[in-house]
Amino acid sequence: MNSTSVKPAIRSIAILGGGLAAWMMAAYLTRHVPESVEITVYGKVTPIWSDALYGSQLPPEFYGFHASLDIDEPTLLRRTDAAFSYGTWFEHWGETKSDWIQAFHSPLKNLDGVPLSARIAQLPDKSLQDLLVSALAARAGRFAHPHQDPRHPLSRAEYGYLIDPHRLAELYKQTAKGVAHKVTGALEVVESGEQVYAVQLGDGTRLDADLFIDASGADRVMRPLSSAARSLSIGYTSEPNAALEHAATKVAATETSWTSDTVTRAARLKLTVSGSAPSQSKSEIKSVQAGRTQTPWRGNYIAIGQAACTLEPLTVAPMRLLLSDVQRVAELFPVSTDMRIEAREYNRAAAEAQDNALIFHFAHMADLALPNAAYWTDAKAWSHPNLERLLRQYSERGAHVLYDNALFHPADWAILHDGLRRKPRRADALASQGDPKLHAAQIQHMSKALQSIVQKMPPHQAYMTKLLDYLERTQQAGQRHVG
Amino acid sequence: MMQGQDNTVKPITSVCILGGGTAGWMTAAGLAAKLPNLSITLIESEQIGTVGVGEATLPHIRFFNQTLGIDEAEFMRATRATFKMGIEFVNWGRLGDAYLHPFGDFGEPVDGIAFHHIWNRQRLSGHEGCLFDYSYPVVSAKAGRFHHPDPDPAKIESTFGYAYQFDSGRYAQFLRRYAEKRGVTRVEGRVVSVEQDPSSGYVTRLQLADSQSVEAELFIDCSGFRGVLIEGALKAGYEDWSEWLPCNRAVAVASESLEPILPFTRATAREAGWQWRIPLQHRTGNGYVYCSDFIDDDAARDALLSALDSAAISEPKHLRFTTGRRKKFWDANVVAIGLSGGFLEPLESTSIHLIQEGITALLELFPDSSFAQSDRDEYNARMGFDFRRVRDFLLLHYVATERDDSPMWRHFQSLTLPDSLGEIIESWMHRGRLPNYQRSIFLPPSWVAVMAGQNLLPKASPPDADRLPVEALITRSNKIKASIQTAVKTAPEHMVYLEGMNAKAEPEGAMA
Repeated sequence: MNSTSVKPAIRSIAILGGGLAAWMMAAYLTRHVPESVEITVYGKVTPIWSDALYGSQLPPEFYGFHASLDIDEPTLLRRTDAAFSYGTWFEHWGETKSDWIQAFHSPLKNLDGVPLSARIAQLPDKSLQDLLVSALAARAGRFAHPHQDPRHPLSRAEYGYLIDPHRLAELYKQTAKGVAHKVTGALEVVESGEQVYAVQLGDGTRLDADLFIDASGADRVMRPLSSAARSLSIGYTSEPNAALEHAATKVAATETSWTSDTVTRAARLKLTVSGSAPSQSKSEIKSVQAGRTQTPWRGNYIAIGQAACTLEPLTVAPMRLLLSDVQRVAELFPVSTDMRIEAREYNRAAAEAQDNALIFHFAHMADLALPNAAYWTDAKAWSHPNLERLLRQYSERGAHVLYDNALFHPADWAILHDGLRRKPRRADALASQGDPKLHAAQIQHMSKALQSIVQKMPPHQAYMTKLLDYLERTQQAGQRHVG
Repeated sequence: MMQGQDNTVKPITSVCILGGGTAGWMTAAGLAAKLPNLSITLIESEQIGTVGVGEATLPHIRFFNQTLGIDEAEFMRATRATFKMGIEFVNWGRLGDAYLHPFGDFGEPVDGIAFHHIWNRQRLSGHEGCLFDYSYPVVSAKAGRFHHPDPDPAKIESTFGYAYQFDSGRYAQFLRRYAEKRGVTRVEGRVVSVEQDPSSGYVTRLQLADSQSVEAELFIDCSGFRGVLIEGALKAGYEDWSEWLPCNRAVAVASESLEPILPFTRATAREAGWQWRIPLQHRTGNGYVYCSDFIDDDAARDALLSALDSAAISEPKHLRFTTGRRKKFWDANVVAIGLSGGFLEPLESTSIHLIQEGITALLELFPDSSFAQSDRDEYNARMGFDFRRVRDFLLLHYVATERDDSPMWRHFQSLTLPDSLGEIIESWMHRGRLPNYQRSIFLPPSWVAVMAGQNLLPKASPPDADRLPVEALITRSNKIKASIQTAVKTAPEHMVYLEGMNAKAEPEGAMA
């Protein structure tokens, strides 16, 4: 037996689509499938709004993902003009006009043996917002890299990036070495046997591949949506930008829907999502059907990202879903042409990840009093047993529910509930233990300590300028050294 | 003190625990430690006695003890505990086979790819190598050596967890002292009648034989298999899992200690069930778990006694059970913890662990005067989930086998598996894929150990592992194997280490 190489059962992959999902998938696969496998990206250049639907923010786990692609942070910053992000700053949300930062944060600490979030949930006038270093820094317009010393409060801040998804797609494209790219017109899926699919061009020419990956976004080549789809209008603009602002994407609710605003080093990216097409607008408007398929892998055809679950980027859910899809395709890359077991495992995990993404998204609306506009009423009408169980447990007593393949974790949920001013109806026995005066003093002490740390942090723009200068100098020094 | 927004809801102040075995005293200690304002009464009867489920534990028990602030050495002296690094399974996949399911990982990942894939890749390239040689706890346990895991995660000596093998009767007594010191009241007596509220069915009072009675708001049923409250009074119902786990009897006997005292438990598959061997400081616990369809009680007793490796020092004790779970672990104001909640045979030492899970879930969902349905629903959902996942893992041991040498093994050969387990095995065989559970007692390394240990070997490795050059992998794996062997050579002997940390009990006679 040849000891060094295993002959792959899948020799060729066709990735359909020309945007972020397609190039992310391609770049990742080049590092995870045998080198002899041919990877081709087929598709026209994706319209900008399509990538915009993934949102303009990368959550913290992209740091590790990029490391696996040999994209270090300086490269990412230089090539995409990205900025740093501590999360999403929600404004005027719901009837209470809630204002909070959905901050990235490592698991919350315990206070006197009980999770901090559970203590806060029991106190009507306290908010987690004062106790999250990432939220405080984002609000103050400041940024610094997390502290190396795990005892330092700043070590618990997690961060991601504010980024133009279209620029990110370009970077992935350059990283996808050895991947062929064929620009095509419209694509059409045809069945060519039981559970075997083929894809053809408008003129009837067939694309040849053992495995098809539909990364075509909300335009999806195959249309596998469930019946409960919502109609959305997407407006997207990108304008040149002068200086960085807060290290967060801002999302503001309006009567009809919401808008988001992200400032990178190159551009101000504005997205408007609504339930029906606005009558007047300067921005490009695109209609999409939001919804999902729970069997994204059928036969030799896998839909990923927005092609499998079309969801507007109110949260980082669409970006997290895309990342989990990309990693799952690689993890379950077929070992034979009979892909039924891979498809079953993929679909189970993907459906769980989608459930989790969707319940986090709709938890921003589910039990809130919202304006009487199509977008809000459609969102409120969405329901899922996992969301009902989760909200019931929280609203009853502040308990958390864990699900398999979760994309959002207890800290994310605690920050969301707290931001929306959800407070449990009943006291929790464990969280009511101990001396409330002592806890109040500890909470106040923590909050003051964090404020003084944040005051010493530099503004986002100043930090970025210094960092880029430093990177520039060390790179030049490195080149001189090599030369 | 803030008490939520609903002021009509009041905290519960009185709890009655019925039964004083491992479950009863663990619950009493756990509640007393975490909810010190509760008034807790525990009723137990010297006449009824306790079953003393499982003398072997899982690493999670350390968290329970730590939460209670228990000193490890003191606890080990009091319970005659030894360290446990895993379970050796003998004769499971085939007669003559043996493997050790360790508390710990195998090897180390390469480029983010789990080591079991690397091992499969090597194996499928024709380079046989025993998976278990790449596990520090396996090699250390077999050499009879133990030390606490090294705090430096970079060292191979850090790559394991550990549990204990102890006398569960003494553990209950140890926790009784702990609980009584924290205000738990112990009442000696036998329940003769249970009073319930006629409209709600809630248990209100337990009448004892000697005209005493105990009232409480919340009752915890730790009365063992009988489930005096959960079944006797509330008729919560039982979901019988004999279809999958048909063993329904056990016979247990203690035997003399045999040197060296090993830091692992042994489970030997037999004609009509399996036999445990659990070495404690002062004796070895033994038992034969069997199915009465395939062997009678006398024959089982004889089979057990004839297979002991040291002289018996107690009378064989017979037990009967039905594997399965209570349909509702929590019904009305009664929570069933321990055998009253369900029983899965102790093949993977899960009995005490399921008690611990019950206590943890109860604390997290502790009721108040409103006895909200949502608390009950969540508790029942969580515990049902835990029981089902343990069931699948236990059943795996019986079906991952070529044995067909007795009616019991032929029964398993023809069994239709639950879909959940069937799909796990199928995915593993197809490409070494394992379930990615967020919440489960047994994580991927445990599934790897049992499946590989019982000769279920994947037919392919995933393509990302196939990219890696096999020669480099082998060099790397050999290095891991060598570093394990080197480290184990200098590791202390189990009992020497145990004595060194002052965890060895004085001989019986010396204890005044």
